[in-house]
Amino acid sequence: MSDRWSNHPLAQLTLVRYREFVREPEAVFWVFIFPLLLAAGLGIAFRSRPAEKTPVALPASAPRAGVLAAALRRDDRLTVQVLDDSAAARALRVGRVALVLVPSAPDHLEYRYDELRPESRTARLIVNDVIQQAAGRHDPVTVADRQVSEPGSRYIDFVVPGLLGMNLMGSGIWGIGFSIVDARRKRLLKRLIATPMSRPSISRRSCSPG
Amino acid sequence: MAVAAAPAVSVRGLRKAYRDVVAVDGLDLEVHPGECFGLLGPNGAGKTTTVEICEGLTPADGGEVVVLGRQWGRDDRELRELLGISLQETQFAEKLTVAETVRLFRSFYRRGSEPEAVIAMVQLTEKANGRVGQLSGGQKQRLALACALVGAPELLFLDEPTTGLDPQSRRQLWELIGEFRAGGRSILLTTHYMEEAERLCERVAVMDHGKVIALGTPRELIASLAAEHVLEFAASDAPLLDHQLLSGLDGVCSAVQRDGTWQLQVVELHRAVPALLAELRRQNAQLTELRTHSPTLEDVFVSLTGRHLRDE
Repeated sequence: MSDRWSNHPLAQLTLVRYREFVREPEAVFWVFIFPLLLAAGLGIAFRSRPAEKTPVALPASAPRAGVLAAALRRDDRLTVQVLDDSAAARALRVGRVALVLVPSAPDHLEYRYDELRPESRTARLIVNDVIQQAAGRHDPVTVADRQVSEPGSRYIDFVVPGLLGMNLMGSGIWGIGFSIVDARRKRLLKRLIATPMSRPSISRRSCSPG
Repeated sequence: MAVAAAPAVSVRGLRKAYRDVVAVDGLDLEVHPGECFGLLGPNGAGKTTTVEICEGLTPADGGEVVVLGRQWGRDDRELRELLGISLQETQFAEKLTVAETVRLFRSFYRRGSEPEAVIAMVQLTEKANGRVGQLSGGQKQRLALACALVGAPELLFLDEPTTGLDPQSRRQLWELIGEFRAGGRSILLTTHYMEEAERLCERVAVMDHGKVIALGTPRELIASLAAEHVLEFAASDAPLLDHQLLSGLDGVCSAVQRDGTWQLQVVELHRAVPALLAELRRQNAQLTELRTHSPTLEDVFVSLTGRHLRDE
């Protein structure tokens, strides 16, 4: 019974196509191994990292620079550098720091930053928050922070399924088209059509997995 | 059994043109049951087109084709079960083994021979588990023959089965085709090897420019030359030699010149040779080459068209 099934033209055509595929090591590599390597590579490239700290600078010449720096360093969202004036200006210009803090008079501060840079605006909010609280500001509303990171919402969770889908679609389209063109070029298709095999069998076997 | 009396293949007034090139131009032929029929002709004579129309692979522009009492377009499925086909230059999948390829083709037919038996018949048993890509040219042609035979066909179409093979592989293939014929089934074969046609075919149609220019058994065709011998010679310093002079020699019936060699069809060699030598001596010409052989189908073709078979 199983012998009769395996002698069906469609079964034989599918078997032949499967064998041709498995005996082509390059094809096996590109279809099965390469997508795994690519997924692993992307996984490494896009793995979740801890949030970056925002770099800010204080010019060394400013009054109370040391006190301010100590206050800012207590906040773990910031890295604080004390630089001399020209170095601080250059660091801001090339983007090595997001903001430069200049205490100009007692109870008077100047924030130097580029409004168009998102990290600079973030730095301004954090720095201002820290400075005001250190100076004794009282927040009227009590807030609590809760971090949310659901599996499936990360970047990599979108990339890998998309990659697999692209690969399946690509090898499907390429595999059918190429095998038919190749059989035609070698005049094998003509030879197959010259047999009593039903012609739709050729397209049906092309649609079988593999 | 009613089919057995009818011709295996009957073609009437067949025409086929590709754009402005006429490949087959009003061809008639008939293959008797149990006969090996040869279509002979140079490249481009229309042999392959004729055979592919008979195989139902190419539609005809006009004319009537009846194969085993059936017609293409009406009894296709039935006909395909009855035909064994070997096309010119089919490349089978290289990664498959011989046994797998034959088994694949066996699966297409409702009835047929065991793949192992067919592989043994074409003497590929040793290579049955070898990859097709590793076969020699002759072995590949035997595989093509096995794929044609595995459906136990009533009629076998072979399109240039031995083109490009070495003489030994060719002889091996001839033996196999001879064995198939011994089973009483019909074969339509195309070739441009005269030797092949003489050896295998009961009747031969010589084709040129899409038409049959001679038809008969190889013996009849050769007899139509009315020459017992063919004499070929080349001579230097013989500007005065011409057709008329040579045809007029004792025992010579016709003369053709090609590439500096004269070919004479001769009835009586023992009279023609002395006459030729005497003529050359009279002209002070130097004989550089002299050969003689019994006439073959090649000579028939040359005398019909003035060209050799393998010329383009």
